[in-house]
Amino acid sequence: MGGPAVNQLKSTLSILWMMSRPSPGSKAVIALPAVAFALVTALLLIVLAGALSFFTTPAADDATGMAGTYQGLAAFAVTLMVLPMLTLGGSAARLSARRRDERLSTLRLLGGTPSLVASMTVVESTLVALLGVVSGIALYAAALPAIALIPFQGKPLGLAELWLPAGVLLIAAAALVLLAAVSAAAGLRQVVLSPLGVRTRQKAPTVHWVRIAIGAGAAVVLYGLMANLTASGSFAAMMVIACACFAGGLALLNLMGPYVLKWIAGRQLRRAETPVRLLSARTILESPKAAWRQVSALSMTSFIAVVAGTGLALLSTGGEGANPAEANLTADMRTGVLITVVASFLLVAASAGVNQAASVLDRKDLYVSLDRLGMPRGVMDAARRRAVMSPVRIVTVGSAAMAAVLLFPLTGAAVIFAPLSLLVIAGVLAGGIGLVWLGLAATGPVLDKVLASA
Amino acid sequence: MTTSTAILGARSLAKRYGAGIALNNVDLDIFPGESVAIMGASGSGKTTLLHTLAGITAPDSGTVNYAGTDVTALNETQRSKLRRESFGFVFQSGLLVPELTAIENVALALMLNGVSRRDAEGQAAAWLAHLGLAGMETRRIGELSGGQAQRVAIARAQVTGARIVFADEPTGALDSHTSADVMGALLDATAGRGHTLVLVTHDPTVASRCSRTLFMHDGVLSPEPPSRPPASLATQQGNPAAGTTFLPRVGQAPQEQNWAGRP
Repeated sequence: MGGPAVNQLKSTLSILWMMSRPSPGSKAVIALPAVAFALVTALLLIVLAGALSFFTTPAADDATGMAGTYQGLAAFAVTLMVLPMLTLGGSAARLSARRRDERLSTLRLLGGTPSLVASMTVVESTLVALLGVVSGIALYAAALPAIALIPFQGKPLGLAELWLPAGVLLIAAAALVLLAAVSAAAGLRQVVLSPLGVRTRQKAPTVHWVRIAIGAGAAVVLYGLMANLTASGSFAAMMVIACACFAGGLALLNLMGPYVLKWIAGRQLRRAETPVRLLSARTILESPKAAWRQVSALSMTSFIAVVAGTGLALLSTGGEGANPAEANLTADMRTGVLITVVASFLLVAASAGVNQAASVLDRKDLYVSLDRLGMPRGVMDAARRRAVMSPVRIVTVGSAAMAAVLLFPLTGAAVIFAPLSLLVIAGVLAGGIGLVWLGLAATGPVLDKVLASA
Repeated sequence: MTTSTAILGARSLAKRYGAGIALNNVDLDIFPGESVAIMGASGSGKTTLLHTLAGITAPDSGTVNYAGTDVTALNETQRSKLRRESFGFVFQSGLLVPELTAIENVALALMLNGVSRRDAEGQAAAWLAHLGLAGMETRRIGELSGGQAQRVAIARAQVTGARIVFADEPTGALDSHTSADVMGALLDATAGRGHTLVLVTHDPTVASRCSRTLFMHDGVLSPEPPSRPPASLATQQGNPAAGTTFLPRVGQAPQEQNWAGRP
């Protein structure tokens, strides 16, 4: 009964068991994506818990009448965090699948059927994701006591408010495991279609200038919509248009971002006078889309940090007459902006660190050969770090500068009247860049290990 | 009779990996302008010998002397500098940087030694043209055939003017026709210019094109194949140096020329 399906499952599980036996480097194959999934799970749960804590206050207890404002701001912060979380989740899933490309290609060459390869991929990636998700839940629980101390509305958030209901935990965990399964299946279509597919990388993928043309056209449309926002009449229509413009802005950034990175890396390549600059520029040009994907979340975070920072800086200058609830709101918005910015950078740092560790392991032979040629380890390390840090700096500083220019009269006023608030925002952005640097520095021992093992 | 000084000498080299003996009291002298093939079965220790001679692997005991420098006495940074400045390497699968173009891969070796990019690319282009790759300078490695990629690797190994090139199975991933072409290019770029080539190979045809063939068996270096076939493989292949004496070697060292990285 159910013969072929049962046999297929049996074959999948038995081959999976054989291929899961420890071998050199096999720990990293499982550990890296599992760590990435653990981090994304923990951060997702913390962000969800923080946001939901504003929705649990009973209406009767809302003495200040500001519950709605807090809920709206929490929802907005969660929206901002979705992109970096998806980026880390996606890179964890791709990593999980990519680290298996070679073994699965071999299996396909030996005659494994496409369905066997596909089912193995999905099962294996799902199991790794599950391991990561369970670790992530433990990490979330461990981090809660510290998160609970963050003050909002004049008092600490509190442990009870931050503990998510079991149902929410299960849904979040299931969503992440599903994401892993779907990404793994999609990522390995190439192996199933062509066993040699994963080994034949020839021309670098191109990013066409037409992205800029489309982006410029869309920017004009968005600007027109925003300029005529009040003409729509109703508040609801204005909100819909504003949200659509915000989403459109994000899409626009993602459309134009890779081309901008490609253009800047192209300029860096032409001017590269050292091996580090040459290698890092070429690494970005190898896949501007991948380079953008890694840092894209920072563009919106950085933009929002400057916009919100400017607004809050000006609000705080006229705060003498504000009531305690309004003063709390201003302080809480500042805290919220800082948390959002730090969390975004943390996600990007985790994603960059995990991807870099995987990249070093994937390119082990190349690094060993460069070491044999006499390339100093510092050059290899600096080149791979610069390939990430350069886009991080471009995106963070570029978006912040763009926001400052767009709001120029206001940023100018904030610089004069509340320089400290802006300095805090600038410091947080600089600290965020430092976080990504630390995430990359943490992968240095992986390179050491690879070179030492040769 | 003239006496030539060895450019590379090894004395009493020993190396173990756990219970396995990779090098067992190996002595060797290699002279300027020679092309030396080291043959042996997998696990015989030939790659360990190549790596030890090149300062990649430190021996458990014994010394390696390159042009008056005790390589085994250098620390890792000094050995790395020596490899970068004085040695060239060609690996089985090229192991070129896939993101870089052909010319950038070759120029990188010079840039690591502080040469400006403009000068480095000028010299790299000359080497690529010399090796029959004119017009392919801006191709990425994935756009080249296996033979073309190995020629890029040869250019990278010699663009710095390295006096010794170490090659580890340089034709191992190529078909016989391409293998012959690449081997010709490698010999022309090294021994053909008075430089020295030390290569490890499984292929007797490749070894036969070198001026001397040595054999590794269980960590022992010998001028004769371990099984002693009816006629010396090296002698069959018209290699008068092999099968006679390999330490010390006297006379007939080709006069070294100062090519200084120019093809």
